[in-house]
Amino acid sequence: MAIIIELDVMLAKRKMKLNDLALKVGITAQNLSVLKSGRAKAIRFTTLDAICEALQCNPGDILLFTENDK
Amino acid sequence: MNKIKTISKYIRSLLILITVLHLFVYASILLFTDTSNTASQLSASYNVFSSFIEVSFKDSWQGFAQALSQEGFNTIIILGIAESLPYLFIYFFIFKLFGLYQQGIIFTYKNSFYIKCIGTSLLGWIGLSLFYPIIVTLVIRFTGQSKTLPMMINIGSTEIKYLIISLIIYAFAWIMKEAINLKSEQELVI
Repeated sequence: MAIIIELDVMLAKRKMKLNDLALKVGITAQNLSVLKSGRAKAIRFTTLDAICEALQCNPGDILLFTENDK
Repeated sequence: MNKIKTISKYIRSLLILITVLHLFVYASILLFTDTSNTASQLSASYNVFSSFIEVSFKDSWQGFAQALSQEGFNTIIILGIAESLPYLFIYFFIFKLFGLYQQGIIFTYKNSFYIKCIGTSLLGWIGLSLFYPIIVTLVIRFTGQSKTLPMMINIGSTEIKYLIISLIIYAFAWIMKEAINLKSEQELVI
C-alpha cells in the first residue's frame, strides 16, 4: 500500500507503549497492533483524532505517503 | 447459537437416516427383486415406513432403460447405482455443512465451499444423466454384448430444473463468499 503507518516511530518518540496508547485512545491493543503493522484497511477519523491527541502530533506524523513500485 | 447447534444435530441425524434408507432400498431392490426382464419391471416399489420409495427411470432415462431391458440387461444395476451416486454426494456435503453449523462455524469460506459443492453435485447429476447412457452404450457395444443398443441423449425438464437450482446454489455460495470478504474488510477498519 502507498500509505505507510509510522505509529511505532511516534510511539518511540513519545516513549509510550502500545498498551498505554490503546488505553488512552479507547481501542483494543490488538486493533492498534493491526494498525501499526499496516494490515488495517481503513482508519476512522475519530480513531485518528484520538491517536493524534494522545501522541500530541498531526495525522501526517503517523500516516506517510510513498510511491508504489509498479 | 444453541438452537442452531441443536437443529444441525437433528438434521445430521435425519441425513444419516435418509442415506441408510436410500442404500437399504437400493440393496433390497438389487437383492430381492426380479429385474431380469421387461420394461414393466423397471419400477420396483417398496413401502417403507408408510412412504413410497421407488427406483424408476421415468424421465430422461426411461427410453434408455427400456432399450437396456429389451436387450436383457439389469437396469437396476446399470442405471440405479449411477442415479443414486449424486444423491449420496449431496447428502454428504449437506452433512458436512451442518457439521460446521453444529460446531458453531456459520459464516466462513468453508461453509461457502460446501454450499458450492452441493451445487456442483447437482451439476454433476445433470452431466451424468446426459452422458451416462452414452458411456454405457459405448461400453456395451465395444465389449460386443449388444450391437443394436441405441445411442440416447435426453434433455428434459428435470435437467433444466436441476440446472437452475444448481446455478441458484452457486449464486448463494458466491454471495456468501463476497459477504465474508466484506465482513473481514470491515474487521480491519480501526
